[in-house]
Amino acid sequence: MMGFMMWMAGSTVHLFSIGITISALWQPISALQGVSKVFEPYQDGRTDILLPKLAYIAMNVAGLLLGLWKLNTLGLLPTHASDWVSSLPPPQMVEFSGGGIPL
Amino acid sequence: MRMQIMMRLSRDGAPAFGLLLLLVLSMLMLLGCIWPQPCNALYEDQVGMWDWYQQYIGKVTHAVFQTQGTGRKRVLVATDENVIASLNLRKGEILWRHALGETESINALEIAAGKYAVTLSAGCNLRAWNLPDGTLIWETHLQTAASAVKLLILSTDINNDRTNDLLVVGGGLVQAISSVDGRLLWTADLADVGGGFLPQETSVADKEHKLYALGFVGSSKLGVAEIDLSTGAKTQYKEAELPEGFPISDLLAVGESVVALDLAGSSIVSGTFTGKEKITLELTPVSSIYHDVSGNAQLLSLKARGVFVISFKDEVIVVGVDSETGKLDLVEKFNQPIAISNTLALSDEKQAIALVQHMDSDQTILLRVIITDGWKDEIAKDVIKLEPQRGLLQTIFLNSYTRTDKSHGFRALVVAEDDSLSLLQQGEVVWSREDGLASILDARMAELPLERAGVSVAQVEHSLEEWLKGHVLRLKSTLMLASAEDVVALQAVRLKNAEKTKMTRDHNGFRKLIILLTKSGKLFALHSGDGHVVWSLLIPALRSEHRTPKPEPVKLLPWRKPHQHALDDSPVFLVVGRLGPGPNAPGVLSWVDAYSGRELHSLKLTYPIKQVLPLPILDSLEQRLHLFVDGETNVHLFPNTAESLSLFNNQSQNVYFYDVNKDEGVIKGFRITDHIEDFVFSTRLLWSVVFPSDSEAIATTATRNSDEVVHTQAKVLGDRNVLFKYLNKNIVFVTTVAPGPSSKVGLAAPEDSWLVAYLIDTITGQVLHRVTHQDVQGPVHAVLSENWVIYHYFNLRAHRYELTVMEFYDNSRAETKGVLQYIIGRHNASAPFSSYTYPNIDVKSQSYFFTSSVKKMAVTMTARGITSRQLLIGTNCDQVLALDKRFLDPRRSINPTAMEREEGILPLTDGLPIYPQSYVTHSYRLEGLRGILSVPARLESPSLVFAYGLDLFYTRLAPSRTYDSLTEDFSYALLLITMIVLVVAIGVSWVMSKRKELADKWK
Repeated sequence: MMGFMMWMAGSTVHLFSIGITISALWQPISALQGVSKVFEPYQDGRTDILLPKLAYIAMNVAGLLLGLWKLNTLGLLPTHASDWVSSLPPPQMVEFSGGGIPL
Repeated sequence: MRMQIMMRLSRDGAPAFGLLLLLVLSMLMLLGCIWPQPCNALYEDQVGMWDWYQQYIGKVTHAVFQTQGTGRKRVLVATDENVIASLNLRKGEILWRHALGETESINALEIAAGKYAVTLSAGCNLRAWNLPDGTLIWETHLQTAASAVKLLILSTDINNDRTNDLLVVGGGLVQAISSVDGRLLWTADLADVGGGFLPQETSVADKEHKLYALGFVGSSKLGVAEIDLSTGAKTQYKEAELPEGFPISDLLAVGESVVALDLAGSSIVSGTFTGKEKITLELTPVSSIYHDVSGNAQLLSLKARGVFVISFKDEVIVVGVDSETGKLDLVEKFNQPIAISNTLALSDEKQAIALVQHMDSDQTILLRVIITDGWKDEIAKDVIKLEPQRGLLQTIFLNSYTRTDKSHGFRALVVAEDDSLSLLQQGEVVWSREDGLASILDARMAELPLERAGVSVAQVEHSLEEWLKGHVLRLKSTLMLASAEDVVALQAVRLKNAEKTKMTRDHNGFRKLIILLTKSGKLFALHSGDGHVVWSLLIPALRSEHRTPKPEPVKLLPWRKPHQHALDDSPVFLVVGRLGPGPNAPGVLSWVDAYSGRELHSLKLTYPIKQVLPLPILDSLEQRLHLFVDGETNVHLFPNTAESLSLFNNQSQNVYFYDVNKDEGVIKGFRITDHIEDFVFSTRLLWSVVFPSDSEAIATTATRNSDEVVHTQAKVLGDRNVLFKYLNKNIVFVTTVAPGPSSKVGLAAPEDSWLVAYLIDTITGQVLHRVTHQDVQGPVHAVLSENWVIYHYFNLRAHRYELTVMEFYDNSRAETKGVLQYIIGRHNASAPFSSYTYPNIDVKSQSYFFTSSVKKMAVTMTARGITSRQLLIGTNCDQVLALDKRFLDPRRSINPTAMEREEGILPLTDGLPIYPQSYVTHSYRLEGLRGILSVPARLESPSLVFAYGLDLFYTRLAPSRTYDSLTEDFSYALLLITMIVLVVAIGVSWVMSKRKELADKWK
């Protein structure tokens, strides 16, 4: 569902695509935060919940990666040199020169 | 729309990544909903809100009054800025005005036929203008092209059309012209009457219908030619031998007598030339007329019967000529300085003349009107107090009017040392015009003082009331409830906003002082809000003393710009001048306080100033260190303090300068070497670039503005690659064109014309880039900013003007490409820049057709250099056009990719568009446009622009629109009401939902 929504949102920055991407990032993160809560009803000591837990975490991480990939396709991840030098101040001059046509 | 602006911003350097951006973006979008749509051009009701326009005419050289008849009382003036204008005599405002252009210096101005103003300009163009509205009635091109040309209004009619006609005398020709239609009636050539006869003076004898032309023949004789006025036939020619050893210099016709002064000014020859067969000349030593001769003498004509004036260094004497014998005798003597007016005929017999002398101070003058018969009868005497900073009066034009009791009243138009024009009447100054502002040499801007605590409460309350009233009106107009009166009131409130003329600094940095240096040596400070003169100063160091050559102002430099810790100090400007004409006259410096308008101190130098180098070093008082290069290429350091010397000594090995010699076609670079004496350093020639004189002549040079701020050195492309701008400050852009006199369009063949453009490093003399354009010619105008240069020239093959843009990118800085290197800061892009490293420049260029010719080019400046730039083009129609730099992008292609489109690159076109809305001067014309100054405000988006020529124009531009501030007409009241309504609605709906919930529970 989320993948389809992402595909629909396109790769240009606008309100819809940003909303989708934020929810795509937020959903796995909140799910990962509440992982123990999800498995609480099944924690009765008899059932081994480690494997389903790991699978749950892996799926959510995959969702998170998908969100990150979406963020990257929108061009909002600082993965290029241009993201780090765009506000680089001009260099200092070692020498000074003046003059021109005489007054 | 908002999105686009944001994208443009990010291209210019704002960080384009991160979740932070998401937040900012969404907030901006919300803001965009309540933000009014910005516009590129002005709306009609915005004219005059932050722009102003003033018209001037220049220093008046000729004036004639037109007070007879029923029409408005006016005075016609011609000025040294080649302007003819009609001024209202009551107020002094301009009724109409024509600027004739740079080459058309006005020789004479007269009123002919009672209804035309006739001007003679460039020695050969005679034009008649209609008096009420200044329309051109007729125009005649004469053969004479001499510099000394005279226009005479005859009091006789030659061609029997019942109007008196005109005579033009000059260059050996006498021409009679009909004043009705400008037709040439006859021409008399005086060059062929005798060997080397050159007429200099004329005398008209109306009754006899004759004209006498007088002049020297060779160096030993004096000739008089007699011409019949109705036919132009030469009826008689007489010659007379000058006394032995009489070096000729000057000659005057006084009625029917001739007067000539020798070169030393020690003896006078005089004689009458009418009637007799032979002219008898009589030699009179000046000392026999007037004993105390001091200084060299000069002859001045008064056009009064039987008298003339000799002016000495300290005195002026009036000498009478006996019309029968030609004998001379002293009539009157006056002390200098004095201005003598034209002669005014009060009746057929009576003539009056006005004399102006300064009393104890410059400011008080004594104006006397004297009847010329006998020179004793004073009919008017006034002591008049002038406005301050006017200097000595230079010229006076006298006019009379008839009072109710039938006596004569007088008014005088006076031109002062500062080129201002004032009308004096009944012992007071009726009006005064600051016409020195028509000849601005240099312009700068200064900050106003900080706002102090202690503003009185009454003032605040008053402004609060005004503020509220303004907002209520604004709200009404937004909600379309405003009546017609309300709209008018609102416009008045907007235009007369007291905020904009306050004498303190504002938060946005819109209010500034505009400091102007004029040709007369006067400094003006104008308030940028409405252009009123805050103070003016006739610089004492630039005033002439006792007929020494007049010092010439040259340049205005910011000496001290207080900021940071010295905020309470006032800014200081340095005026550089020359003690006389010519580039080798010794220099003079004057320091002026920009708040009080007083000269702090001045200094007369012993050496000429060839170059001024404002160094990027400030001393502890925030004074900028300056180097002055003298005639022997030694440099002199200012200020003369031990501190500045030690500061300079630390840096001197890195200080260079260069000199562009246009005549020889050489650019030479020097460096500072030894400390010779106190504040003098010697220099050594390091390099020279010699252009081949047979094929290239330097046309123009351009350098980067030293105050220019560039935000970033990186240019991020649409595909997220980076280009590094080549931001060397020590470069000069030079263009050379094919030498030859034919710079006019249409005179040169395409094969013989070319333009070579160079980019030269001024430290090493290395030519960084060179490009040749074939089949093009000058004049070339260029502007160099950041890492690009734009230049304008004429393409002879295409018969169109072209603008070429070149952008320079530094490949050597682009070597580190890894993201990790940038994250941990290990890269070479932040290393200091030295010209001695190997340059690896990538040049991108493109040429575009441009439909307009150019007078001046400049570029907008903003506070931090983030806002995209606009090119300011002073067009030939004396308007200023703002052209977005993105039109002049060398990366434009026919089919830009999606990435490039996103970046804002436009599809390639061969020409550049001129939208009528992009004229920043909108409906105004700035006659004789001479300069465009752009300075940043404190806010990033606007740029303040001041353009000057004969007229002054000031406005505020926002090249990327006002993205960092709300517009002036933003309705705060509407926003407030919306918020209140929302809060109330929330409260009401909350109560209602509570009730409904309760009701539901009871069910």
